[in-house]
Amino acid sequence: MSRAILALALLAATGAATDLDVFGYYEPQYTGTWAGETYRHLMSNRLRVDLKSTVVDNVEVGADFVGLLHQGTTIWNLLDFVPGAIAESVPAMLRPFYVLPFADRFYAGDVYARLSFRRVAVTAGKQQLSFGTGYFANPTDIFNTKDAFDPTYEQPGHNALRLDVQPWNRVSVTGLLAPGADWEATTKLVRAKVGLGHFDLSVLGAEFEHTTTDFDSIDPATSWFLQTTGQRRTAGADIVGQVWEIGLWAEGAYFMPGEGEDWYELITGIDHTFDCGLYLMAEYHRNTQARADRQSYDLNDWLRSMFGETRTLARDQAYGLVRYQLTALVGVGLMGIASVNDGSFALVPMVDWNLFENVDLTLMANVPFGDEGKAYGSTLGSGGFLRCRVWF
Amino acid sequence: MKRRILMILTTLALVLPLAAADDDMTADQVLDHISESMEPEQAHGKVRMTIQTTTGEERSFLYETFSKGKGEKGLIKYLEPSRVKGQTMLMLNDADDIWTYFPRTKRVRKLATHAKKQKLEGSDFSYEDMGGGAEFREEFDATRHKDESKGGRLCYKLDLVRHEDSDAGYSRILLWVDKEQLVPLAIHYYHDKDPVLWEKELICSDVREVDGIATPFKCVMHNRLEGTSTSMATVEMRYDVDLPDDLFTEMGMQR
Repeated sequence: MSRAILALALLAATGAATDLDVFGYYEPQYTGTWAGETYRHLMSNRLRVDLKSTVVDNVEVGADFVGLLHQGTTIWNLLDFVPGAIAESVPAMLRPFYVLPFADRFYAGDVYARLSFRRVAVTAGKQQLSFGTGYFANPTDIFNTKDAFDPTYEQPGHNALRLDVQPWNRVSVTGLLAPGADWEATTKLVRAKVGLGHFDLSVLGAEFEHTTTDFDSIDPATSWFLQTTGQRRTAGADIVGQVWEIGLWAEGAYFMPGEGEDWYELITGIDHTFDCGLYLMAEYHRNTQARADRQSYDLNDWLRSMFGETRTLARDQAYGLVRYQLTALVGVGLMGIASVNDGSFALVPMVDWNLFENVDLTLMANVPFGDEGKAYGSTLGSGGFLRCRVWF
Repeated sequence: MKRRILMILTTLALVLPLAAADDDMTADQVLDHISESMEPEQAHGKVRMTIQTTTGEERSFLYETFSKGKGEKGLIKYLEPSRVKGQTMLMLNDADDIWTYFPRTKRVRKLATHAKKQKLEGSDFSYEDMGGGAEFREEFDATRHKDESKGGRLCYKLDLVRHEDSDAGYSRILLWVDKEQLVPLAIHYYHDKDPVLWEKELICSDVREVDGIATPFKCVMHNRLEGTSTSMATVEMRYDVDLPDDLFTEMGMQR
């Protein structure tokens, strides 16, 4: 950590003397959650410093460094957030493994160089990779899993070598390699995108390694839950456009694991802005890797969805979003997230306030309406966060 | 609502060639002059937008604009403040196709054209307000009234009433056009549902000649219902530029 801080200080000092652009934000956040009879709160302080240089023609060098400090309830027991019957079934000797700390961290989010010409670009290093047209989830994004309660929050970077070619306007091809321990474990991805009228259409094929965690088994070698890796292949597509003044999109992917059954994910959405400025959006998401019957959710289902290994706990989700810019500085919104299979849902009201020129405040709450054991049931707890972001 | 977004963002939507006006011009002829002249072949500039809220607070944005093909292609890149720096908007096919680029996530997202109804960064301009010219001609019936002075300049006064089948966002517009420079100096916008409810007022000033085109360097939109105002000040503007076509692509957005 100290070496990373030293490197950042050196880079920033160098930046002052050259044409290095230094920017970023400081983000304190207070999160509170009631689960059962217990109130837990966590104060996190996040500093992101971005460095960017375009001194050399056609070359952009960029990096961002993140420091994340926690205080408050920094020890959380995962079993407090799964149904009581499942938690009670965990053997006593395994229970300490479910107690996890929010550790302070300092890391490089992205470190990359991008060489770009008029119709070709090569990006090497740890970089942002995101694909797909869905808002709450992206089935074709094999690198990231969005948090449906905060879907636009930034994702970590991924090490890769990426080539983008744009032979004609509105036609592009992307090839990507993300090195693994060997060639089999290396992610290979090809994506082609074409503009057709008012629509953009993409197709994607990828081969990648996926890690699956067994949250009911401990690996003595690592003193962590047993993890197995396997190769997966996926073929997907997405489309976005509009009919009259209605925005429409869809995104789907078919997954072929080396072992086990194939499954698919599909998300489709619609949005519109009314004359008064009111914005409405709805999405439907099906993930056949997840279970349709809530009685069969087990410990692994709960924790794999919590850790983002699977995108959803329930098979069918419906999402809704309403947003309205109340004044020049204040926007309000309401998200609804529902499991179609078990009938549970959560409401997420939110307020964004541009407090000063470069200071944003976000207040967001989440209130589940479902019985214990349902995807958006009382097990998740009610709560919210107040996030401040100071840009520089 | 075709070319409306691009023009004010690139040229404050009110650029016109310096040309002497014919005193006998009809309302439609005045609008034709505006329509033809509001679309320079290419433009590149910087514009500062400042929002003043009801509580007197100000928010300022600086963005760089590019347009080509008489507004058929446009690109806007935010330079300030830090929280929006690098965000870019690409508009093709007269803004019927819109993409936004977010530099922190490197994500490009295609928007439906209904996004134009949203306020531009919370300002008093919706994207739909950004127009005039051809839109006035296509969406409204125009009548010329007796000439009046605005800002000490003699102006044509035009009264525009929305066609019954139009989806324009205002029921009526009053327009004052400088008779000498053929630059609109004031526009009054009336409420979508109530043709007597005066909703917004746009005042333009500081007209300068840039590459042979009269360009107002300052425009202020007052929202009379909400008590807020937004000014747009041109910082730089050029029309004799040669912008490459590949600037107006997803890859161009990310440069």
